[in-house]
Amino acid sequence: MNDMSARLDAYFDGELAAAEFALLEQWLAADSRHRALLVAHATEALVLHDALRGMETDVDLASLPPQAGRWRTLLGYVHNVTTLSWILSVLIVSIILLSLGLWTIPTGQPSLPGTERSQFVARIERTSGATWSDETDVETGKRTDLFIGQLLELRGGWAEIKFDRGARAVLTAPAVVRIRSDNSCDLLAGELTARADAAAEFTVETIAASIIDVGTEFGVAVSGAAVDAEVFDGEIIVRRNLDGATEQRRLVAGQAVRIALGGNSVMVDASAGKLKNFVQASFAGGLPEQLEPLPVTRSLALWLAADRGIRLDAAGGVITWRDTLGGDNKTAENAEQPMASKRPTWVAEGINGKPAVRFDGKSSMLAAPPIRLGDEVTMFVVFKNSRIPNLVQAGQILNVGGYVLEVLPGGELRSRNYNGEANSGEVSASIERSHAIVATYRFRGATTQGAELFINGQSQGTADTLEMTPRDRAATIGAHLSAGVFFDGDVAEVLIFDAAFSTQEIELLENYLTERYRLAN
Amino acid sequence: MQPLSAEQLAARWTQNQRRVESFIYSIVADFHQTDDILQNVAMVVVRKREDYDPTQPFLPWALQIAKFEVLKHRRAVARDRHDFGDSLMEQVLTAYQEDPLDLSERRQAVVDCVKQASPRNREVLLLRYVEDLQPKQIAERLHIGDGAARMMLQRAREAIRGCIERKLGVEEARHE
Repeated sequence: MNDMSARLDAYFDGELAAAEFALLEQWLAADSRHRALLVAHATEALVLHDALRGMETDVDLASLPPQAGRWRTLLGYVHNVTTLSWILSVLIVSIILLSLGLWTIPTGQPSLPGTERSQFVARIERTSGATWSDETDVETGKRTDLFIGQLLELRGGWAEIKFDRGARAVLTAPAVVRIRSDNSCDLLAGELTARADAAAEFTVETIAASIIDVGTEFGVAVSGAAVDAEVFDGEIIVRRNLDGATEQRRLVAGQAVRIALGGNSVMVDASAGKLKNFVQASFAGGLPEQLEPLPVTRSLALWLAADRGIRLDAAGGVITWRDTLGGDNKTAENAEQPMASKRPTWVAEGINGKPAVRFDGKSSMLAAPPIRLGDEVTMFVVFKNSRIPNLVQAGQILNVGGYVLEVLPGGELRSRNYNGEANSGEVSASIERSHAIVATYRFRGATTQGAELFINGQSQGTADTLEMTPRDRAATIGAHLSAGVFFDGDVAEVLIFDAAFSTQEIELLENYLTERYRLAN
Repeated sequence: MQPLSAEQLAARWTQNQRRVESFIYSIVADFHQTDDILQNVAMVVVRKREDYDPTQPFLPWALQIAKFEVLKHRRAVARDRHDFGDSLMEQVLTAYQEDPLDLSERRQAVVDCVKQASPRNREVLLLRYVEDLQPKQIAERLHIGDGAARMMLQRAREAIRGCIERKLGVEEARHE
């Protein structure tokens, strides 16, 4: 067996000659125990790869005391698994802590007296594109009174809660909150921004600390690895119990703190904006989606705008770009990137001072689940390309199951559609590097001159089209999924409609986007 | 059939990602290619979530996607390595569905053992498992002969394996 173990090592090292490899294949095929050894070697190699890579940068890991080992293992695993699962991780950790009694109710806070529905202490004041879990007792689109102990799981959109003592909190999905009193709540997972008067001392309890408002506007986010608190305006107190002693810190506008979860966590100061990109609610003007309604919403299938619904990891990578609901867009097909190393970044001033998602042209991309599209489609993309692809293949900005917008090696923008057998509807036009534009592609079934490409409202030409069968089509942003041709540049907004729009409708939307992003006509 | 929510999908992916990754690595034997293929698998999982029947185990579904992505990768990339045949790949895939390996304890043991390793052993392990160098390349980097590099690498592995087994043995004894 030791010989075969060495041979397996040689296989993974890429050292086997053809004859040796053939022998290994025979040996593996002969017995399931041999294959189990292959599994063990592969797993060990990955664990070594992971552990050694982590040790290069993971200073905290090395400095943790031995007694924190088991806890560290769990958190280390949760932290290192690059997935969409942060919310689940937090919930698991919360449940574990609650069940072990390790997440105690801080002294001086009211204990939860149960779930008496007569004790209404807050209400949902406004929502925008909000969707709730089935277990959440909230009527969509209506003001709902909230009682002490009520659990809210927001799956999509935003919701503003007004507490009876005056504080307002805006939840950004996905988030889980429990109402504690007329002036406090538990944030179990996700993020909220809150605003209250100085006298109210509105409190957000988290797994790691109490965040107490002393007249300010602030954000709190609970992820699988840490609790972040950031002050937008005014002042907050961050308080936590540590080995029986209370640690307390005051933060003012522009400051932020991160409390790593785990047995020996520490508070780490940072300047605001370094830790988390909070979707800062506009308490005066309404929730983000309500600020800028689209001029046309019929047949809307996907709406991604970089100034809303972005969820970032600690390194600034985009985990999720939420589909904004509105008009005929009733279901959220969020664009996601489970793997940290492949995430695009979010930039506050990507396109003419407006936020954008930045793709690196090497590995970053996002994918959204399938949306139903017929054989008539109109799609709009506001983007800026940073580099002309120098490969033979094009850098794809957007590919919705065959409806494609891409930058060609020669520096042209091309629209086309691929129906599984052939391309059609190909229209190309020159674009300038680092120059923001809105590109519009309209497709009208299989017909003469059925495809038309517009740049900043100007038609760039038409082309004949082949049939595109109506079906569910997944969207990929920033790359072709399997060809690995990556877009290098910023994307600020994506709109996909399940209809071939009239020229008037296209003008309305292009004007909206041109004005919104201050694009040159 | 009600498709999984993003959170439910994330949860199942989290539980199974390591297994899927290990399956890919066992077939392609290359960290970078494993990473690329795993990325594609994750994307396909997100895109095809509605095809998944939540009443069925997630791992076989994800492994099937991984298998197709490995095959697709093989067609797209010219490799200088030997590849397992399709039937052996199926057998290996089955092995991954049966293997109950719990990684969390093992990972911690690896971390502890690498910390305790001699600087020379740690260096050669870093070159192999982080920089993804083959023994010949390690030899070039360290200005030593190919045979010496292979010997160093094998000794470092043996030291780590012995350490891991001792640690896991101690842990198991503690829990008995």
